[in-house]
Amino acid sequence: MRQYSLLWGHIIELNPGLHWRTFGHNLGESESVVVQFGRDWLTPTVKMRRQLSPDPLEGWFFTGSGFNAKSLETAIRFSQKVPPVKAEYLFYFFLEAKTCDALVGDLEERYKLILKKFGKFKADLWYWSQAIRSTGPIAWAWFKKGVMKPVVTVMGSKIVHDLLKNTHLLEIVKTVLAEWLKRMRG
Amino acid sequence: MKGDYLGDLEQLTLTAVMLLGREAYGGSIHEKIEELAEGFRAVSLGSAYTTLERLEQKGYVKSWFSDPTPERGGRAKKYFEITASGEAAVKNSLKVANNMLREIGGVA
Repeated sequence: MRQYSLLWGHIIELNPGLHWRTFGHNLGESESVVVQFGRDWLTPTVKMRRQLSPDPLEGWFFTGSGFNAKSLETAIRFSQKVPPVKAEYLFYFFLEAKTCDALVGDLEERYKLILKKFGKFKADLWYWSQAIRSTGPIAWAWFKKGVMKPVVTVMGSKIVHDLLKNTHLLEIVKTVLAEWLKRMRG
Repeated sequence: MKGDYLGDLEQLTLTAVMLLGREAYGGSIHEKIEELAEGFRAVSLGSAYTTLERLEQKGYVKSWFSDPTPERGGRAKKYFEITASGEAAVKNSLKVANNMLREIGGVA
């Protein structure tokens, strides 16, 4: 018999005989959840217990057989308490890991609040509108910093280099600049 | 001070950080920005973060990470605090806005 629990949103496998196994209370039959494994909806022989915790999912643990931590993770998603798909994959490419974690944490925190107040549909809608709208500015900031600045620097130095070598072109630029200055002063 | 000009999103973000004080982290700053913008401007969480990063590079805010908490799936919060130069920049921007308001005789 394997045992699993949620710790900070992640499924962990427990070793038998942990002292907090007896902590909490048994749920009644009517309180069990329907869990989806792959395509099949099942009500598995899962006994659920709950520890005292401010988060409705934190502290739940499961005992049973015929499933693993990964399928339980899928099941937790179907229990409608966490965002459908994590948006962090969108941001990890553009942001430093710690900042990305903080941003995803903010998204999840607000998601849970909206879920509690307005239900899953509105929470999902808010989460994904924020995730999609956030990707643009983050990707643009990354592009400006990581791509545009070096490209502009290289192109600028190349133009200056070519200008200095071409005296005829340099004369034209000088004339245009002088004319522009004259107009500005005038 | 010359050179302390802020864009409107920077102004909103810095004001939010200033108003929130010790409670200023990404999520709370984003909520405060939405509250201050009163629906006139939609700002995503990502925009708030990129603006905060820009402000940090300019030396107007400083940041640090909290310990991870279970409520956030084991993730830390990124807290921000306004610096003296940040406060000066906000005040200068508000002064300019005030001057414009005075010149046009206030708004309804």
